[in-house]
Amino acid sequence: MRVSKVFLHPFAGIEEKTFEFEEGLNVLLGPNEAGKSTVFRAVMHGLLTTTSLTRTKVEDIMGSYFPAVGGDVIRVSLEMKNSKDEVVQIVKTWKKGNRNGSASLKLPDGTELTDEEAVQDHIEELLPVSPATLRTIMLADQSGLHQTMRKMEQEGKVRKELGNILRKNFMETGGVSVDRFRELIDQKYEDYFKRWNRQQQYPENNRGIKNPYKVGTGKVVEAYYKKEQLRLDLEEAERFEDDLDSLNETLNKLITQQEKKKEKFEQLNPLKEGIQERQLKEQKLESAQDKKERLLHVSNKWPVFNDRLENLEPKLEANREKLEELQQEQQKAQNKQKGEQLKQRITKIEELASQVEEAKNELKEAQKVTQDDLKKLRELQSDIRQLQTKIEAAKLTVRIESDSDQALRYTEAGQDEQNIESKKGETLEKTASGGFTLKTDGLMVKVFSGDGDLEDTIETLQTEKEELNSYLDDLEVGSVQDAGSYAELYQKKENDLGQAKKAYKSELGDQKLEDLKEKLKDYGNLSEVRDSEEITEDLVETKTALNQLKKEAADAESKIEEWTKKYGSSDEVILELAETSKLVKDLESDLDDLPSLPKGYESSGEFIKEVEQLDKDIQQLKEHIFDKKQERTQLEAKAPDTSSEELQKLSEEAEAEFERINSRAETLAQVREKSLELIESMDSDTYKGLETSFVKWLDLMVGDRFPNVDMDSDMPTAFKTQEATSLTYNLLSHGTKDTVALAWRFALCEKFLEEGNGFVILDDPMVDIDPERRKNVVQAINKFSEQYQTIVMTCHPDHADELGVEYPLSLES
Amino acid sequence: MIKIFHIADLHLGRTFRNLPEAQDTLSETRYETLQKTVDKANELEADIFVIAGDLFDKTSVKVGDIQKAVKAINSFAGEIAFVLPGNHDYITADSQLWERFQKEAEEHVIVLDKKEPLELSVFDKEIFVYPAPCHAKHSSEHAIGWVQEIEKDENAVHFGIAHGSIEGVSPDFDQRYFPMSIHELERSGVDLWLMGHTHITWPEQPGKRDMIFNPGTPEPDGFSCNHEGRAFLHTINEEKQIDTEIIITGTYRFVQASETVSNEDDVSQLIEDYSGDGWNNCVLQLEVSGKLEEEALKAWKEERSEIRDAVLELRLDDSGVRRKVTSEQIQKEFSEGSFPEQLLSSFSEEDEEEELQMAYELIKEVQQ
Repeated sequence: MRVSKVFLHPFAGIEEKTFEFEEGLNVLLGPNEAGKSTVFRAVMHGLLTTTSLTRTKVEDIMGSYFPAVGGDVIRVSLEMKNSKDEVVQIVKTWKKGNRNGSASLKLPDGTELTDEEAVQDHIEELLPVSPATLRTIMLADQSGLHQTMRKMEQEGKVRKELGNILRKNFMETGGVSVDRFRELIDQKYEDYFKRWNRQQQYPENNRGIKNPYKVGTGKVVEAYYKKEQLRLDLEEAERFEDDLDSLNETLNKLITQQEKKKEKFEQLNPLKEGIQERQLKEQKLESAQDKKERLLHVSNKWPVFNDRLENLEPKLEANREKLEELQQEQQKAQNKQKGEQLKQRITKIEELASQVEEAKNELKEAQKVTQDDLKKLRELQSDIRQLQTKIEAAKLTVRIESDSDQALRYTEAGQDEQNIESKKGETLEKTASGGFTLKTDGLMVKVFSGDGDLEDTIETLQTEKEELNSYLDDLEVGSVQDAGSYAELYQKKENDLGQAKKAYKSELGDQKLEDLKEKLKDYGNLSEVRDSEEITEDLVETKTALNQLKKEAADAESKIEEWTKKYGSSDEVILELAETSKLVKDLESDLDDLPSLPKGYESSGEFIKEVEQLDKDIQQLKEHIFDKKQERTQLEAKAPDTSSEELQKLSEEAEAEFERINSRAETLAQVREKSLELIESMDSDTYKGLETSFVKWLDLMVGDRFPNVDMDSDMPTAFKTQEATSLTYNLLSHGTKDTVALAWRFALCEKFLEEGNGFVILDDPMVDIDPERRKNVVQAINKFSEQYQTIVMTCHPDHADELGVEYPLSLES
Repeated sequence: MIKIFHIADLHLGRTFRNLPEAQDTLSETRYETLQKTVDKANELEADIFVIAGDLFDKTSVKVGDIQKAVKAINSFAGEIAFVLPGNHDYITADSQLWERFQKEAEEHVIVLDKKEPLELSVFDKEIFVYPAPCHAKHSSEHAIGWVQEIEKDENAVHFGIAHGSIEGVSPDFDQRYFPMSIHELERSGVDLWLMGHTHITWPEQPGKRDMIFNPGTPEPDGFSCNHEGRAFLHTINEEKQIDTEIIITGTYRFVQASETVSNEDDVSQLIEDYSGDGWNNCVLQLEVSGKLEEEALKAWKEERSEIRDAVLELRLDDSGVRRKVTSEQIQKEFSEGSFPEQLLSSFSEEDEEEELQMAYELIKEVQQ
């Protein structure tokens, strides 16, 4: 399909004009303001815009094409030719107002359509591509040229159409549409797997049989629910059957129990009355026997106690006397003890008196040096020592040298005269204190030190020495030291005497020894009296015996008192005993007449208790059985209508059916997976052809500037320069963008349009391309126009020249 | 000479939920079969009619259905009919089913509800019957233990009637169905045991030496029960010798078959074999497999309904019937490298038969 004639009458400022187009390249030259795009618009609307437009739509879409003044109608007539050169005529008229237009379509066979909708549908059918593709790829105005890529990206429809066309070449041989196949398999997949989680092999969102999806489930889920439901039904039926079985078992047990008890009850119950009577008599007999026992005891004991009381009296008396004797003896024993203590005291006092005497004698015999004496002696001795020290302080050294041996008498001051000898040639040396006197025959030398009063001192010393010696002589002691020893000894004796006197006094107190001795004499002789302990022992023994006797007497007395109170007298006891014995005999004979206790029972009580218990048990069992029967009725009301055996079969079948469906579904899933993989991998081949074509056209226009192009299936994403720089479309220069877009459109047209069938309108394609590259572009346009009708519109006469068209169409009238 | 007509396991009231088309027919037929067995027993002049358990499928039975059953049994013309409660229609204290049954039953119809011997004096020989009724649906203990304890008169005929699984004869893995061993039955001191529970006839060919008899169900009720529906007629002579005859009683059959087809002729043959008049009393479970050329497959798909029409109910599994898809065929049908060719070849090469079949079907469905 190509454009052969465009008739505008009128349309956008053109009152009436016809443009004719050839196969191959056509160039339409005209300045911008002359409305070079008018023809482009006319073709586009003539093909794609319906004439049945509302009032507003007419204004919006077609408003700018109405004459500026006078005239409310525009018309476009198109003549198209198909590959067989047959003519299709389209006439479209748009009028202002609501759906005022009209259209007609004349087909090569002479058919004419005038229904506006039918006309439009038919035109679109005749077009080689969809309107969207036509608009995006085949008809692109000047401003839109380099937007082709962007538009492509946005137009899903176009891309889908492209994909289908491309794929068709590769895959759909044999009349199999991949898209239909895909739709079908997706549909089937959904039919099987809706609401089924294949990984978990469970319904989605864990919605098992307890919370199932009610609608919108696939076959797998349905089969799954079916088998699960049957499984539950089976479980319930089994539970029901087991419950019923166990309930029946319980019931059977209860009923058997009840029957057994009933049987026993019926056997025992008739005996009950007699046994009850027996129980009563047995109790009476028992108490009568007890009473008889007691009376026998009393009648035996009463005289015994009487005797006992009589025998006890003398014994008590004897014990009392003995007790008194013992108490007296105890008094004597205490006196004996006191006398002995007194005797010991007297002995001690006498001993102390003799010690006093002894101390007195010893003091009398001792050398008498008193402490005063000693004091006087020591004072004298001290004075003498002081005097001597004074004399000794005046020390003199005498050196005697003589020509011959001499006998001399030497007296040191205050000392005794001594004989000394001075030998010839020797030096005799003497040291004296205070002074000395040296005498030879006929000569006396007296030497004194100091100023001379030392002589008095020596004399005083002499006097005091004599006084000391005379005092010592008076005391009959040798020295002051001896006098000290005697004085100490004398003082000790004095002390001894004092202490002895004190001890004597303290023992005696203010009593007199004679008085004490008199008192001792008064106690008399107690040597025969026993020890107090011995007597105490006898006393305790006697008291215990006495108490025991007293108690025995009291007991006997109280018993007799009690019995008297109770029975009156022992004779009366004997009477009562006789009566009781008779009662016992009567009861025993009554019991012999009553039915005897069945074997296995210890007592009538036990028997009666058992019969009563049986009666109670039977009643209880009856209630219990009734309850259980009620329970069973309730359970049976809920009985499943199918037995577990049958459900078991159904469940197994459903399980198998589920497995079968699931396996079939999984097979389908496998097929689907593989198909999708295959489609994807084949798709990448599909677009390979597009890429090759694009690179071919690009190479023609830009040479080897971009030897490599990256494609994302149907869209180029990056252009690689020789320097391996990767550029996206947006990074290209304006001129390059146009060139690339043109190459892209050519490549797409090659895919969209069958060989020779179709047309392309290019509105000033080279306006931004530099002259150098234009040559290549012109070459490419020429080459493209060899395959497809190409209508180039331009306002540049030199562009028209370059395209090599000798007589370009002109808009100028 | 005494003739005993012996059936068991009629399972009146069974629902056959798994056979939606046949269920009503099968369910109703069982009552007819009961009447049929009684008629047969009358025809053969049987003295005693014995139902050895599971006359009913469950203990909750509609009164009308009980009446229908009793009416049939009442029509027994011999001396006495014994009905033993089995594990499906077990008896309990004041069982509504059996109370109603007894109410409806005539004097000569006896429900064997107790484990105690019954003496029959109407015959030439004294007869003692030892019933072992079931008191529950399941029990791991059988009900025949007491029989051995009873002292038996050698001159009399003694026969036991029991219901439950027999070790080695009927499957009872969990030992839930009153299991009995042959030895236990033999040593109980009776002359013969009239059994029920197992739906298949045992012994298959009753002989002179047998003393335990299980007739199987008189009306087949499942695929595991592939006989015609049976009863036993036991004839006991003066010497207490037993002669047992198999009596056919059933109406419907359950047939299981597995067939292979590989061409159109096979398909035609198969259709012929399983359709026609002989099959209208049959529930058929048919498994068909084989690889077929397109034409044969088409024929199979078109004609298989003939089988469905012929039988009472068909359970068909022909998932094993496959279209013959060979790699030669794929190459021939689709051009090399095309999507269908690549897809089918990949399954064919990997021997993924199921996937190949399905992919082929799908491609055929979208092919124009």
